Amino acid sequence: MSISRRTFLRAALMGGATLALPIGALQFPMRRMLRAQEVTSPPVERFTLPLPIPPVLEPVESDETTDYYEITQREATAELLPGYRTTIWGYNGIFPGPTIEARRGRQVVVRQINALPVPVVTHLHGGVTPPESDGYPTDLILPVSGDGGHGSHGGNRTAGERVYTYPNQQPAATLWYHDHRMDFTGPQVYRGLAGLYIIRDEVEDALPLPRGQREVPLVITDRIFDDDGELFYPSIDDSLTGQPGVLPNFTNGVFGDTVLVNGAAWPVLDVSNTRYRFRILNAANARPYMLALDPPPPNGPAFVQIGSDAGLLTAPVEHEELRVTPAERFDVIVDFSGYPVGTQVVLRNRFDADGATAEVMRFDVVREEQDESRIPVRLVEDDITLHPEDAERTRNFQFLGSILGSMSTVNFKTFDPDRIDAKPRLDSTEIWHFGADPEHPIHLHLAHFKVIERDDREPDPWDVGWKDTVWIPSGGVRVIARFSGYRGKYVFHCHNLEHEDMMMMANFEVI
Amino acid sequence: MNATTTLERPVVEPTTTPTPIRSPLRYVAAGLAFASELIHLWQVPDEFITWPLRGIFFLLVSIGLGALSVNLLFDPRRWTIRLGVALNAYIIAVWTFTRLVGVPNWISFDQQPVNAQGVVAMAISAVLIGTLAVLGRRR
Repeated sequence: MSISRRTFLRAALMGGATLALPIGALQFPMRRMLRAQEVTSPPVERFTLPLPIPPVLEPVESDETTDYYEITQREATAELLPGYRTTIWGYNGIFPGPTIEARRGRQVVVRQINALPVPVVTHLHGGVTPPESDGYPTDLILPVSGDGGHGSHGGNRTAGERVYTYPNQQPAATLWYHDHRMDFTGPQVYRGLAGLYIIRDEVEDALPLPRGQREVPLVITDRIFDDDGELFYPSIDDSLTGQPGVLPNFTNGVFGDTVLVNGAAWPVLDVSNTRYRFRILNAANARPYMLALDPPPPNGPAFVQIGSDAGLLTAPVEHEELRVTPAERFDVIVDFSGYPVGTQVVLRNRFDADGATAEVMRFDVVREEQDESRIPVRLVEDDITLHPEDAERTRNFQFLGSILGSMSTVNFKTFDPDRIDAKPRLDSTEIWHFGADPEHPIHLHLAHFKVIERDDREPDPWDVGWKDTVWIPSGGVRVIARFSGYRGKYVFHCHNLEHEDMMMMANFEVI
Repeated sequence: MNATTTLERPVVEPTTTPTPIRSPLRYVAAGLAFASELIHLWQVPDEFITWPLRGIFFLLVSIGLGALSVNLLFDPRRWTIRLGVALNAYIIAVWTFTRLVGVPNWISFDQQPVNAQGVVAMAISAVLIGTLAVLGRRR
């Protein structure tokens, strides 16, 4: 069979135009996605770095009612992996940022200065905060150096710095502050923009809980590192000034293969054979943890929970394992008195029992000490009690993930800063039902709530106390929320930060 | 026997093969289609990374424009012209819808921005439709 020159030419051109060129165009995204999928952190020896404790920030000024702080958000390097220097973005150039310790009833004013090349927003997570200081996603602090290239979102922008006012009219609790920039929260928190904010009060002071050196914050995150020890985040646009979002194979969240606690990979903490109070925060972008002690203590529960997201519990709750999902906080006591000196106790993650993140950190019981602390049978009395029958109304919200990389939704709608999805009255009580297509940690700004039901069954053991974030592994959760504090517009959203950046967020306005 | 033989002229049936279009204008149309293909292909990596479904849409449109371009070079028939008009009208309709209303996402729509590449591609599609219409009336 012979082919004419004309037929051959036509076939060649057809092949080029309809096969070769399109396949060539697909090469770039496919290779980028495959490469991102294959990145694994350099192997490092575990339990060599001592657990760092974030420094407590000193106020630059104080008066009768208020403590004034100044924080500069800037780039720096840190030893997150043993033997590597990693570029981070940090509050005052450290990760986690400095801890702010506040007193209930005493106002804190924080001047945030943006020395980063991109806009930032700072949200006090768990804070009952006026809307103008809550860190609404479009209330940008533009960089000192200029605009930093943000899209067309509106919002209340300031140039170079912003002053946030936190009244602290709420009980003692472990809060945290972190970046909340529209579309880019995931990568900016990932680079290090997170820190603890602890509110203390007289009620807590009066309790005989472990304190001082034996009150330790544990900020748990996971990250992926390149071969050179730099953070790897699969942004579509690494400059964080253009197209937001992550590569399509990461839209379900960026799960690191290296666990960091207080910014150190698999650290170790020397402890005495006494009780310790750990303020645990899951500051990971997407990974939930099921924490357990290995070996478990021989003479009691692994964890005695004394506090939840929004403050101390009324009574302690014992757990053998602790489910800590993104943005949740657990205030727990671990009693090392049952371990002989010389025991090494590994904090494990049972959600990834055979994986790279199966271990979190290690406690080495290295000395004996006297222990004056104890765990009271009653801790605090609730300021208010919520009854479902007092709820003014019930609202339903469905959190749905993206379709092959499209935007995520709440009630099938992507986030629109101008759309209000709920208008609870100030000081009202409402029941909110959250449905999810599995695995979303749902966070309400301003309002604290209690979990009252999970899929027609009792709440999980980790749902106790006042919360601002609730984990929905699948199905639905009903919470009863109190909308007190301030009128104004706030957001509620999925705290899987990649989902949040993909618009799984909505507004409510307290009226 | 006096046989007479009648020689009948064979009946010529009307041909079923359409006449190819040989106007030089087809080269202009082919060039426009190819230019539009390149613009759409240029968008494929970004669109695919942002949302694979949209990337695949751009890829399919590019392949359609490439096939149109090559067919226009080699004695196109009327069906080529009709498919070419339909494809480019579809491209303009989708572009206009996604700029005025948005890309459907569950029950909401994500409105797309108007950018230079899009405007140029739509202008090419509009001119291409006009060129194909003229070609369709010529031999």
